[in-house]
Order: sequence, then structure tokens, then C-alpha cells
Amino acid sequence: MGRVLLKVIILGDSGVGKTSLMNQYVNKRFSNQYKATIGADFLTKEVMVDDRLLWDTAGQERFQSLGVAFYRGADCCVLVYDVNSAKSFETLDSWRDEFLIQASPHDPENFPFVVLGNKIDVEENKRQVTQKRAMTWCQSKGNIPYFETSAKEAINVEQAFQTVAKNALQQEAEEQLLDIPPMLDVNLTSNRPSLPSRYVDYPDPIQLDSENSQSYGCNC
Amino acid sequence: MVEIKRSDIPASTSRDDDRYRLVYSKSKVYVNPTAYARDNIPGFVALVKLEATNPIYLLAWIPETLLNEKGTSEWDKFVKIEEKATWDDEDDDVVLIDLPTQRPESYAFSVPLTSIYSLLVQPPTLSSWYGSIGINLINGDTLPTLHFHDDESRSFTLPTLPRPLVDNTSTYPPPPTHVAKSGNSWGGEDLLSRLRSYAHIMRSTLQPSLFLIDPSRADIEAHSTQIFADDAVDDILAQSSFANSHSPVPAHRRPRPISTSPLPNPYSHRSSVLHRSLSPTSNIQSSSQARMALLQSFSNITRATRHAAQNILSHPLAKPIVPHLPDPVRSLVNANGEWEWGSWVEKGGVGEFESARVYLARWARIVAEEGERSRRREAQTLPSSSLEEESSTLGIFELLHSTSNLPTPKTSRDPSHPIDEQLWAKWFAEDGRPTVRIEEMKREVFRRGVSTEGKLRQIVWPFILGVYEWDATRFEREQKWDQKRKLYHELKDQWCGVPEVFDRPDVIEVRPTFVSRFQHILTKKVAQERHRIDVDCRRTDRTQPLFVTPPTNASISKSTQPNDEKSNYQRYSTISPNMSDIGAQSPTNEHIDRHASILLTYNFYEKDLGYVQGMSDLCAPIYVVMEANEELTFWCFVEVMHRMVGPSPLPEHGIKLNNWVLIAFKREFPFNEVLRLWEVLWTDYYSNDFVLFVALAVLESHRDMILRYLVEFDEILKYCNELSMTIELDTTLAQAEVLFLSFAQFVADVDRRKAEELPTPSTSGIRRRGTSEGGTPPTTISLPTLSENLRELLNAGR
Repeated sequence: MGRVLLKVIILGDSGVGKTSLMNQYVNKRFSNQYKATIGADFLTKEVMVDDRLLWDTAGQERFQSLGVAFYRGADCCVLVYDVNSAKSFETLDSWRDEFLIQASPHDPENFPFVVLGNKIDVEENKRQVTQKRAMTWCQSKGNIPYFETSAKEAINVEQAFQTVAKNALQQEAEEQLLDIPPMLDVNLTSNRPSLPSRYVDYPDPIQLDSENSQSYGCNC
Repeated sequence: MVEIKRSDIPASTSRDDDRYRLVYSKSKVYVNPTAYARDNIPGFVALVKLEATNPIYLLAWIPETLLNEKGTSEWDKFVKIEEKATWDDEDDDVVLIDLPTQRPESYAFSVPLTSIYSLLVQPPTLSSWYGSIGINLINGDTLPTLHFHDDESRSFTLPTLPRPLVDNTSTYPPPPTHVAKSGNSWGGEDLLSRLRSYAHIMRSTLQPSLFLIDPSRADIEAHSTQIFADDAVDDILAQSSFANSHSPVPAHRRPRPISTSPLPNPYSHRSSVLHRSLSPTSNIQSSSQARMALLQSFSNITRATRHAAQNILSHPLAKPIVPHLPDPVRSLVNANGEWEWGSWVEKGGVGEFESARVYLARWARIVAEEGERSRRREAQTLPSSSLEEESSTLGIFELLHSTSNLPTPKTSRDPSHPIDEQLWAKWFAEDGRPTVRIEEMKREVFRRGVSTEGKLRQIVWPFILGVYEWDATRFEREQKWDQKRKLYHELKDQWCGVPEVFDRPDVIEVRPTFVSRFQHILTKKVAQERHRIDVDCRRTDRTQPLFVTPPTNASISKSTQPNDEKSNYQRYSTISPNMSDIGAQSPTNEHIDRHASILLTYNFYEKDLGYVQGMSDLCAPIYVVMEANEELTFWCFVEVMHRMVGPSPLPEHGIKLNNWVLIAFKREFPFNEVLRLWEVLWTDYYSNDFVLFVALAVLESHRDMILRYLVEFDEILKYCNELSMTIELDTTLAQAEVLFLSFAQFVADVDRRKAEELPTPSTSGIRRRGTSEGGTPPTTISLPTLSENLRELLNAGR
């Protein structure tokens, strides 16, 4: 089995849990001692068929000028907000635009995003963004897959990143085709498989009472 | 043509009539019979040819005294050969010599190349000034080690043969085609490249300093199993159509095809398992064949590596290291390592191979550090007189040094004797006026640090940072401090208890915009800054006692204690009274709030800069040291920020820097070491940018690992990220000091040499690049141009 190196960028406001999600997915750990990410950080995750490179960025937009170099070549972008903060949800638009401008993907209309509503482990009455509101937004942006997660309780993190990988893989395949020199174009059109529309797959149904909701607690 | 009859007959050969033709000679090659330099014996190393139907080549060393005995003509012959630029074997100008006997008292020897088993080649380093070659014979004997004193040797000091400016030992040995006589970096290399014309010399991959002479098949097998030749995978990919096919490796990460360069990389031995697994006709057409070739290559790795690794890891010395190994490597120690290693390699293909580089680099570092630690432990058990020696060995920096023959500076640091309260008190007169100069104080802080006992840091830090004036009486200081304290509260009152400030139109929140490249034109967003400060302070140094919140009892279910849970997330502080948009964050406490207040006040003090993530990391340790004194923390923080961003704050500059520098290694060292590091940096004793020398010292100590194993930017970044909490502070600071002093010395040396050359304008033309002047080589090596940025590193004191 060959390897695909996928580059996944995680964006969102300060303190919504980007680093925690990344660490939960890669290291299966949660710590509430995370520090503010300065500039960018990254981890790699090796899965059966691929090697995922996760770039976690600082939530402060003045660090986004670093972004251009870090964003380039991204295969998927994960947008994270905190379900307990309306503001962090409202800025998703800007984060999405910011990414598309900085990464300038070939086909911005169809670039794969995944939205994660994090911190669902916090009690219900603190919640400020309903699932319906989030899903409506995601649909309006071209059916972006949406997951509600808890990095702390490891809820839906694995499932969310599986979708991230799947969409990123597809993106990578398309980028490959685009990378082929123009002289091959004639052959290309006949060989090109009919690619399925990217967002035919709706996200897995969200299960808030996932059996995975065991707590990993704090490891410090 | 000079012809001399042999008078002495070496015991090894009995052919009396044979004539020995001198084909190579090199002067000032020393044999060191004892550890004392006064006992060193200078001599000539020579290659001689025994003329016969099947000529025999011998390697010889003849002491100068022995040649002197034979008169000047004999000496001249050696000099003549040494100076000869060409090495045409069929040269008419044959020089024949006597060959000395192997006399134990003179250390002279001559041995046929065929009797040499191996050469142990040690290029010059800082610690051993002269490179050396040890000679092991097949019969197990070892001949005296030859030390190449190139600075005295004729062939290396001749004006027509300038020494290369850059030490190229890293690409050692150079390919024979590039060898002009004495074009090599040092004498041993010169000899070695010459030997290559007469014998098959193979560099061992097991021990890179070992060169085998005409190795046997078994030795070739054992010493050429290069498992991780850096370019092996690249070559395989480049040689196949794989590189241009639908590779799973994205185009931007695929290796550059090497085949585009007309010449093969002369430094690559092409002897790694991967290379050798390639058939000569490996121009594989279909990508599936290429894949097969690649996978076959990896299965070869599996076999060879397993064997090598198990050998290494089963060694008793490796035992303490095993727990530190990355899992895939550790699995080799197991009896069934065969299966595990195999699956590790085979399941992944190229990807695993690349990530293995990072593993290997880490592993190599751990081994090196383990070795360094035990070396230090050993050194500590020695009497104190040897400790000086120890500290001087801390600065082994060949790169800077190879460009100039300057002595190695020594570190002045003495962290085991920090400044204590008695000493500090001694530096002040009755009225609080200091009796020592501020430079002296800073020098001592740089050298020794401040004792952690008592509250000395609370007193010393404001002086180092310039919050308190040095040349003043206690009364004067107190007066100025009163003003500063007042000013702090004035600044704080601009927002504290004034909720409207966060709602004002000019400070209303704006969403992240795309003008991030032009930060300074962004509208101020105090509410947003407040949010960030709040969120960041809640996740900064939470293990420090001041910042620990009363632990919530996790075993009690949420439903039974909803109010407690809620109140933990609630804010009651002055900083953000309205908590609607904070989201779910870690609970806060009084000190976290106060810390946030300081940063928010700073936001009003330095309006152009605003809050930058990382500031909380810089401020928290000060808050802890000042024991929650808000005003002192604030003014110390102001001075620290002044040092970080300079007088005209341009956040863009700082942000481009690595996090190491950006937050002054805050996250790379344990908290207490951060305090020790920072007080050293704040002295600006040597350089205002001493932190860069610290960063360089860290990189320097990992140089080999990074250069040898890491290719991609990602890999290097990952490796550096993982250095966190593994760096030895005092060693690093000592290295940084040596690096700085070497740099300063280097700059001074360049300036001096430039000044000396100024009066003779004729030479300046020669030194200009590209001016060959009728093929006359330049008489001086062109001096490097030092940019203003480099010179600014020498600025000290603010």
C-alpha cells in the first residue's frame, strides 16, 4: 500500500480547542493544560493507508500572515468553533474566506472543508449555537460535513477525522490530475475516471450519546 | 633523473637490487611517541614504488632526522616530489630513493600497501587540531599514528596552492577527479586520495572514519551495508517512471529527480542496500515494476537492518538506551523483532521510510546525549583541576573555526555559585547607592545567575531590566517608583470599571479580516484583545501554585453539583464582566485574573502593539517571581517587551521569528530554568541578541543529527519541536557564550586583516571574485563581507 501525505489545516478562534482536537486524534490524549498556539504547530498521524499531517494554527489572526506558507498544498481544512460561544461560530465565515485566499486552491468552490462544533461535553444550558444553526450554515456553504465533538471526552473525534481524511484523499487525487503536464491532456480526458461529487456523502449522523464518551481526563 | 642505490634493506623485502621510486611525499607528518608535544617527531610520509614486473607500492614514514643523516640531496628529493603538482606515474623525472629500515627507535616504517588492512582517518577538529591517520596491518599490528601538521607542511603553505577556505570534511573524501595536489582540505585527505590510485579503498559505513584497503569480499559485505543512504529512495524514484506517474506522494513532496544532473553525485557511494538492489538496467518502464523494485529494496532493508540493529541493541552498553528508543526501533530488541520490524517497514513503504528518518535522528540524539551525560558524570568525579578543562571543551564548533585559525574562547559561566543576598548587599552603600558599576553587576548575573533562595530575584530583576535606576540612592529610586506605580493605575483605570470602553465604536470587535499582512492598519479591537488575553491567561503556567485553581472533584457527577461547575466557568473578575462570548474555558482564579489585567493594561500602554499571543507566556513567570505584585510585574513586563520588539514595535518582525526566540525558549525549558535563562538574556552583557546565540547553540549541538537524517522542512520542525524539555540549560548557555566570543573574535580578525590590506591597493584587485589575472592564483583568501545585521549582533547593553 502506498502512502499519501495529507495536509490538513485546523482553523478557528482562540481557545475553541484546535490543539486539543489534534492531540486527541493523534495521541488519544486530552490535557486542559494546553498553551496558546503561537504561529503554527503540527503533528503527523499515521493511519493504515496514509500519513496525515495536521497543521494547527494560532487563533490570533495576526499570526495568519505566517499562514501562506503553511496553508499552501493543504488537502483539507477543518474549521472549529466552540458550541458554547456564538462568536466563535460567527467567525467561521471569515476563517473559511481567509483560508481560501491564503491557500488559493485550484477549485475553491469545491475545496473540502469539515466543520467541528467542539466542547459538547459542557453542560447543555451553556450551549449558544444549536446543531440546527450550524448545519444550516454548513449546507449553505456547499454541504460541508459537520460534526459535534468533544476533544476532552473523545466524542466523535475519530469519526470526524476519518471524514477529513476521506475528503482530503479525494482532493489529493484531483490535485494529482491537475499536476500532470498539459501535454498529457489528451490522454487524460479519456482516462480520467468520473469523479463522484465530493459531497454526496452526508456526514454520519451525529450521536451525542456516543459510546465513546468515556473520559480520558487530564493527564497532568 | 636521480638515482640512488639502496643501502638499507627493509626486513620485509629481501630484493637487494630493487629500486624504490618516490611517487608521493608529504612533509611535517608527525609521530607522537608520548603525550607531550616536545616528543613529537616530524617526518615525511611517502608512497614508493618498487619497480618490478608486478610493481609493489609501499607506504612509508621517514623521520626528518634520518633524512638529514643522508644529506641535503636526499631531503631535496622529498621536497621536490611534494611540490610536484601533477602525479603522472609515467613522468620521466623519476626520483629514486633509499628506503629506511624499520627501526624501532626512529619509528620509521615502510610497508607494502597489500599488508595494510585499514586506515583510521581522523580529520582535524577543534579538539584535535591536526588530523591523523592510524594504520592497521593485516597481521594485527598497528603502526605509529601519523599526525598531519598542515600549517607547517610545505605543500599546504605554498603560495601557489591556497588552502580552500571552507573545510570540506563533510564531503570527505573527494572524488579523485577533483583532486589537484593539495587541493584537499588537509594532508591526510591528500594522502588518501593518492592512495586510491594504487589500491581499492573503501570507506566503512559502520564506522565512517575507517577506510579499508583492498577489502575482502566479506569485509565489503560487512562494511558497505549502508542502510539509509540519504538519496537512495530518491534515486530509485528518479530512475523509474514512478516519479512522473500517479504517485501517491504529492508532487510538491516528491524528491527532485536526480537524473537531470549529468554527473552522478560523486559523494554518494551507491553502495547502500537500496542502491545495490537496483539492477544496472533499472530503467523500469511501468510504474508497477518500479513499485516492485521499491518494495524489494525495502525487504532488503528489513533483512540487513534487522541483523545490524539486533547486534547493536543486544550489546550490554545499549541496554540503558533501549527504553528511550522509538517504538519501532525498540521492537527490534524483542526476540520476534524480525516480524515486527518487517511489518513496520513493509506496511508503509516510502512514507514510513521518511518518518523513520525522524525516528533515527531522535534515536541518534538520545544515544549521543546519554554518552555526553556519562562523560560529564565521569568528569565530575575527577579532581577540581580538571573541571576547567571540562568547561573549555564545551565549545566545539568547527564551522566558525575552520575559517580562521583563532584560539577557541572559553566560557566564563559559573552557574554553581549564584549571586546570593550577602553578595548583593555588599554592592550597595548605606544610602542604597551602588558601589559597583552596572556592567559589573550584569557580568556577574550573566556568569552566575541569581540565587533562588529568599526573594532576591524580586529585587535583582527590576535592576537588570532597568525598572529601577542603578546609579541612584534608595530614596531617589523610591520616588521614581511611586510615579511608576501611579502611572500603572492610571493606565489600568482606562478600562477597569469602564465597561463602555469595550463597546465604543472604534474598539468594537471586527471579525478576522484578510488584511492580516497589514496588521498595523487594523482597527483596534479591545474587546477581542480582552477575550484573547482572558483565554490565554487561563492556559498559561497552570501548574504554578499561584495559577492552580481549587481542583474540582471529578468523581462527583455534574448533575449533583451544577452550581459549582457553573461557577468555575463564571467570571467574577474586572477584566471581562460580560462572559457571554468566552465559551467554555478552563476555570480562572484571582491570580489568573490579575495576570490578565496586567496584559490588558499593557494593551493600553503600548497601543500600537496590542496583545500578541505569547505575551502571557512572557508575563506569567514575572508575575510568579514578583509574587503577585501587579505594578512590579507590569513594569518588568514593559521592559521585557521593550527588549523583544525594540523601540518601534513592528509585530510583523517578531512574528516571523521562531517560537524559540519569540517567547525566549519559554516552552523549551522547565519553569525554574526559564527564570535562570531569562535573567542571563536580560543582562544584554555580550549581545542584545544573545538569545540568537542560544538558539544557535541548540542547533549546533544537534547539527549532525539534523544534517544527516532530516530532509524536509516538516521533519526539521518536528525534530526541533521535540527538543522541548531535553535541552541542558547550562551546557547550552556555555556553548552560546563560546559561540558569541568566537563570532566576535572572528569579526575583529576580519576587520584587522582588512585594515592591514588597505594600504596596498594592488592586492585588492586580485582578491576580487572572478578576476583571474592571467591564471595567477590569489595570494590571500578573500575576506568575508560582514553585513550590518551581523555586526548588530555585537551590540550590547541598552
